[in-house]
Parts: sequence; C-alpha cells; structure tokens
Amino acid sequence: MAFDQILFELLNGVVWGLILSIIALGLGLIYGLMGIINLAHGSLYMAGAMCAALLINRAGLDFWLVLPIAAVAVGLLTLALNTAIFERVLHRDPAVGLLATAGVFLTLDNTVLALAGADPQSVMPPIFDVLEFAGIYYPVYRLVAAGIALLTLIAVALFLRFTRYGLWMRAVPQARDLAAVTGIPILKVNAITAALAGLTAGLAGALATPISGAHFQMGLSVIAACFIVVVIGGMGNLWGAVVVAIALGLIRGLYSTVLSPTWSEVAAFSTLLCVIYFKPNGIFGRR
Amino acid sequence: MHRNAISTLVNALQAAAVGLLLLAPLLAGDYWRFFFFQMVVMAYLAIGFDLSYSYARILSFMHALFFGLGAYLAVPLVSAAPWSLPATLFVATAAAGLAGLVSGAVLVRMENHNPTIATVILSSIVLLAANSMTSVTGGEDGLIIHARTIGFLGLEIGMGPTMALYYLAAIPLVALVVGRLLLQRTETWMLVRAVAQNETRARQLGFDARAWRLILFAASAAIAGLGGVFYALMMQHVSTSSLEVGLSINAILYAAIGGLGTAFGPLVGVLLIYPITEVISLYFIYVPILVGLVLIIVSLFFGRGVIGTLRSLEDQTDHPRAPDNPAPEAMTHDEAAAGAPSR
Repeated sequence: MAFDQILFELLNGVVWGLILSIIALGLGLIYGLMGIINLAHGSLYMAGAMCAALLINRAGLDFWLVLPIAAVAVGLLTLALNTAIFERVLHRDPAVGLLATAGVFLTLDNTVLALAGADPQSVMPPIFDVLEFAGIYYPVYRLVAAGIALLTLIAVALFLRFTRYGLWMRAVPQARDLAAVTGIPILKVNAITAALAGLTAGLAGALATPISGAHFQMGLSVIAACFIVVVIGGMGNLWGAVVVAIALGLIRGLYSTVLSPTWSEVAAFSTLLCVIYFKPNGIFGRR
Repeated sequence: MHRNAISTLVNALQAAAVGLLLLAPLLAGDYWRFFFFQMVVMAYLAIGFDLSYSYARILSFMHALFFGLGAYLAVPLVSAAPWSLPATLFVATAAAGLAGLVSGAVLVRMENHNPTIATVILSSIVLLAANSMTSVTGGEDGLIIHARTIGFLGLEIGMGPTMALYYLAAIPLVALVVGRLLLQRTETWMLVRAVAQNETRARQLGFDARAWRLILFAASAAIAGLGGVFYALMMQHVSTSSLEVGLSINAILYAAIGGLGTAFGPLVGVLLIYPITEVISLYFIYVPILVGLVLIIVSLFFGRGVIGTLRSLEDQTDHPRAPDNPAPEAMTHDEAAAGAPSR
C-alpha cells in the first residue's frame, strides 16, 4: 500500500471525525442535560445538509452565506422540538423520549423526502484549490471544513467554560434539585442547549454537503456513528465522545485504503462494536 | 365506569380481534385477504417487539432485522417438496432466534439506554451492509420467489395471499396470543414479570435475571422471524426494505397503541392502525410522516395504549392504588407488566 494513499485516507478520516464530533457533541449535550436520547439527531444533520443543498442548487445562493443560514435554521427547528417535545419528556420514563424522537426521525426524514424528493443532491465545493504536500493532492475545502469544525469545538468548549449559561449547562446534570432551588432557569438552559445542539448539527450537515452530498436518508448512518461515538466515549462524557469520533474517522480512513466506502464504514462500525462488546458501558465511563 | 363494564369491553375487544382475524377473510374477497394477511404479518413483528420491550427490557429498534432474516431465509427454502413449508418455518424461526440469542447476549449486559442505542447501531450497520451486498440480497430491488406452490405434509399450498397460507399464518398467531394469555397465570410468568419489574431485586432473590431476559429476547426475535417468513411467502418477494428501522418503528407504534405488556395489545394495535394508514396512503403517499406524528402523540400523551388504559381504569375503580405504589409513568416497565393482571 502506497504511503500517499494511506495519508490521503487518514486525512479524510480526520476531517470526517471532526465533523462527526460536533454532531456527537450536540447529542451528548442534550443527553447530559435532559437525559433524552435524541434519535432524531441524525435527521437534524440531514436537515442542515438538505437545507444547504437546496439553497445552493435551487436558489443559487453562495455557500458561505448558506452555511450560517442552514445552521441557524436547524437551530430554530431544534428549539421548536425542545418546546414541543423535549420539555414534555423531561423526568419521564426514558422510553417516552426514545419513542417520541423516533417519531420525529420518521416525520423529519419523510417530510424532506416529500418536499425535496429522493434524488441525492450534490454541491460544488466553494474552494476548488488543491494543496500539494508529502506527495498527495488534498482538496483545500476539506481542510477548511475540518478547521471550521475544530473552531466550533473550541467555541463550544469556551462557551461551556466561561459563560454563565455554560456553567449552568455543566452544573444542572450534576445536581438537578440543587440547581432548581438555587434559581437556575432550567427550562431556559434546556432551550439554549437544544438550540446549540441543533446549530452544530445543522452546521455539520452544511459543511459535509460539498464532500458527501445530501440525501433524505443520510441521517441514519450518521446517527449510528454518533451513537457508537457517544456510547464508547461514555454517555455524558463530551470530550470522550470527541476523541472517539476522530478515532472512528481514522479507523474508517484506514479501512478505506483497502475497502469500498460503504464497506469501510461497515467495518469501522463493526470494529467499534467489538469495543462495545468488551466495554458495554464505554471506555471513558462517566464520573 | 364500572369495573365489570370495562372488563366486558376489554374481553369483547379481544374476542373481536380474534374473530376478525379468523372470520373476515372467509367472507371478504381476495383484496381483503391480502390486506388481513399483511396485518397478521405485522402482528408477529409487533408481538416480538412487545415481548422484547416489556419483558426482556430491551427497547429494540432492530426487530425488523430478525423479520428480514426470516424473510430472506424463505427464498432458498421454498420448493414443492413435502417438507418445504415446515422446514422453512423451522429454519427461519430458529435462525432468527439464534440471531436474537447472539445479539441479546451483548444487549442484556448493557446498562441504561445503551441496549436501545446498540439496536439502532446494529440496524443501520446491517442495512448498510445488506444494501451493498446486492448479489446476495438483491438490494432495494430485492429477490423474487419463483416457486408457485410450497409443499406441506403432502399438500401443495399456493404461494401468495392464498386462503390456505393465510390460515397457516393466522392460526399460529392466534395461538401465540391466546397462549400468552394462558401463560400469564403460570408461576413461570410471574418470575418473568418479576425480572421485568426489577432486575436487581429478582437477582437478589436468586433468579438468573439476565438469562431470563436473554431467553425472552431470543424468543421475541424468533417470533419476528416467523412473521418475516410469512411475509416472504405472501409477497413472493423480499427486499432490503424489510430490514429498515422504519419497519421496526411501525411495529413499536402498533404495540404502543394497542397496549405494551398486554397479550392482545400488539394485535389490537395492528388492527386499529394498519387500516387507517392504508386508507390514508390512497390519498397521501408519505404515510411515514403521519406514522411519526402519531408516534410522537401516542408516546407523549397516551403511553398505556388502548388495552393498558382500559385496564388501568379497571384497576382504579377496583382498588385505588396505595401511596407506595403510585400510578406509574406511562410505559414504565412496572406499568407494562402491571397492565397484564394475572387474575
């Protein structure tokens, strides 16, 4: 196996891992704060991608304009989901949230199918340049997308670390009752978390569109990847999930030097499933 | 409402469900037999899901995989040989049960929500793989069963939604539901309920809770696989769409609407919802949008389902719940098991 091909696939793996990690971050935030497993999280990513693809292909808007629009649109959608569903699920049996978000998944995916059709949408990358180094030619857009994902991770980390709402978002899961008595506006904190999770999922979808295209069913394989990442990273352990997301990307990259794209995805998932077999409750654990 | 009136209503509903399944296809034409056949098939899947959720305590989004496995195994096994139908049913059910045993061995060791998440992961991996193995699975176009008849104890049973095949599928279904009702009175089932309600307590009492959950999960997979075989024999066609997570979600919806943890709930749910979605699909092709919306509404506001709600009304008029045994939140496992009183 040629070194340059391995390097190329590993870079792809890192790019995909970083995009995946900002999706998984939102999933983990919602779970950590509200105890809700959002089965519709992949659909939010899909909504961001389809929104971006349609605005670019049908409305002819510029990619860099569409990127924030898609993120904000999905953020608002998730805010609406929070009011309509997440708030009603809090403090109830986990099955209620799972079933309700499964309903959201079905509704969202098929609404997009009804509105936009089943044809995959492809989008030209906004940057056509190719970077040449170490004997490979790598598309600059992918590096930029990875950079934006990395900046998003840093921004979320700073938000959680240095703002009042960030502090509350970390505090509430640790001591819910205490948080409520001390006057933390929990519903507002929940709403901001949901909006943030939607924003990152929508952004990830829009970022991925020039690389992987957009399709109404693309959420399903992403939700599987996110779940693997979140379970192995340890439910509620945000940074564990980020590490595993990048590891998943790298493993997939390695497989794709010898396998077709679909099979390398299957192989990467299966590899991490073996990890789940031996550590059914994650490797980083929780608390 | 009086307890007796509600009891009568529940019994009437259950008898009507069985009566409808066994009699309606005799009276109606070919189209309706096909229609009822689809409901029979979905009822197997819904019962499989409910068994897994209410008693193995695994909220599974992967039961369509067992269903699809059963359906796909039917393709090579169908022939006119006299052993063909029993062999198909046996092999497919056993294989689905074995797949349930293997996957369940991991699932029952997981905590909190992790088993559910693992079922979503497994569903999407298998669907992804099945869609790329087009030479084996036929992909989304699927495989066609060319045999016109299937052998059964010297008889040649016509393939497709024929009368004979319908009853060969419907009678085991009724037996399964009624058998479950009878099983609820046995001591074994009390143990199953004890495990479902509180695994830790059951283990402390010396029962191997995990083994029980594993057995029940394997059984639930086998039932889903049996449904898959009948689906393949009826449609004479199998594609990867019978592995989709959307199908599992449909089964969940049927079981939840009928009443989780009740013997008749899944069947009643299918009989109530399937005709509605079929009628709607004549006018609006994106039925899954509505299925999703109904699932949201049912899970948020109507968690006990038809039978569960009636049963809880019955309980309230009978004896108000003691404070240390409050009316549980919708769809907790306590409720699921309590929804099936063993009196």
